[in-house]
Amino acid sequence: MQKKNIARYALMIVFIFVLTVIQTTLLHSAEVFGVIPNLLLSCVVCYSLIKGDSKAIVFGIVCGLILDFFGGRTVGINTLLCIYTALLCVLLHGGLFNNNAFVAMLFIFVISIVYELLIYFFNIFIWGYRGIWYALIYKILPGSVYTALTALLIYPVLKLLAEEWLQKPGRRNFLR
Amino acid sequence: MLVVTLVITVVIFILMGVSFAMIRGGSSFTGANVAGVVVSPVQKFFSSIGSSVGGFFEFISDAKDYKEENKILKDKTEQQAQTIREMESYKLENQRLRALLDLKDSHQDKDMVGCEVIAKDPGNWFDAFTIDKGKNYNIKTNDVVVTNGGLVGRITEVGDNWARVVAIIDTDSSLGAVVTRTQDIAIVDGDLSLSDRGQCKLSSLTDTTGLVVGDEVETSGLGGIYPKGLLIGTVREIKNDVTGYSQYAIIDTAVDFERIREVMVMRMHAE
Repeated sequence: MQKKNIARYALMIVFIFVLTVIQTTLLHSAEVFGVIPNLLLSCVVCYSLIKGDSKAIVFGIVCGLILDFFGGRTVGINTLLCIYTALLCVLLHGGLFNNNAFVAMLFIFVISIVYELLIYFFNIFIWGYRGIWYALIYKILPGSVYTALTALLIYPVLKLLAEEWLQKPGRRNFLR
Repeated sequence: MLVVTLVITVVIFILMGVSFAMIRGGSSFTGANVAGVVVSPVQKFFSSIGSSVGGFFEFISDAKDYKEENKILKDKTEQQAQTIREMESYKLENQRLRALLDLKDSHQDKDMVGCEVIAKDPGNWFDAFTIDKGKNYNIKTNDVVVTNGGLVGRITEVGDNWARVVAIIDTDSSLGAVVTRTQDIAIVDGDLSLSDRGQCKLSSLTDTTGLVVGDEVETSGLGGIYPKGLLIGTVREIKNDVTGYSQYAIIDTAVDFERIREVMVMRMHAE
């Protein structure tokens, strides 16, 4: 069991690493309306909804730190936001509805709007730049829609890695 | 009977003589010509039928060979197309690298190193990217990054084999500038609503400035980071600010930030 856990965590790390590389390289060639999705935020929400326990917080810390490191700005903002995102999803896990990729999409859309608004506020607004409507219409909303759509790919893969793979090999209903 | 035979023989000899004489003289013998005129179209018709029929049977017998040959040729064409695509890519890379080399030659007084862009900012808010050289090439914070087009930005963070560059169109960027034609001093700021279009804002201009669309803007050398005379861009639009006392302009940057692949770092602080 211990070996299986190590293998699963190793796979998770590889998965996050791959997503980080994609987000900082290839994804910029797939910009839609000038925005790219936040794959790691999508990952945090999906994982938290799937697991619903304290591991999700750790996952949030890892993804948040990566976003902070690769963003090259003040370290901590993304980490804090990812931790609270994970916490919120854990608290709502299974409480209101059955989790699936479409619920994850809805969650990601709403959380992404709040998340990006806070990033805008802490990184841009407080330094004197206004233009909230531009930010909302051209950055936050399209970015949130794009990020939400990534759940259709990320949720099934994380479900496979986090819950089913190495634990319940018989089950393969990835979207539910 | 014998007489008739002799007469015919004589006539034939005469014909032979006449035809020999005509052929030697360069003209065709009338009888042969008549025969040729009449028969040759028929011969041509049958000959063409013959070659068509022969060609048809040949085609059937060679069909398998044609199929293989077609496949080989298709593969070859695809390979050649791939080679052409690769060559086009190398050609473009070569042009970019040559331009960078020219840039290095034109700034021989500066210590420059060529770098490749390896990653971009993971979010949608900032215009920053990562290059493939860092401390290992003696790159330091606040070193200036340029391309053959003009100014790109400055180094804000350095790792062992990487460095982070903040572009001049980033909202965090602000630098001293001068309008080349009028020598008016101004400030170039990054702006969130302009950065997507590769533009930035030229501010702190007075309303007496004789700025016109198309004016070139370059670094002023004030501020201590960017050296004087690096091209920033050209004025696209001039506007009055909300107070009405000063103007600002929108600048098209000289660098295409969407397609930036290779850059040069000016090692301003190298030991």
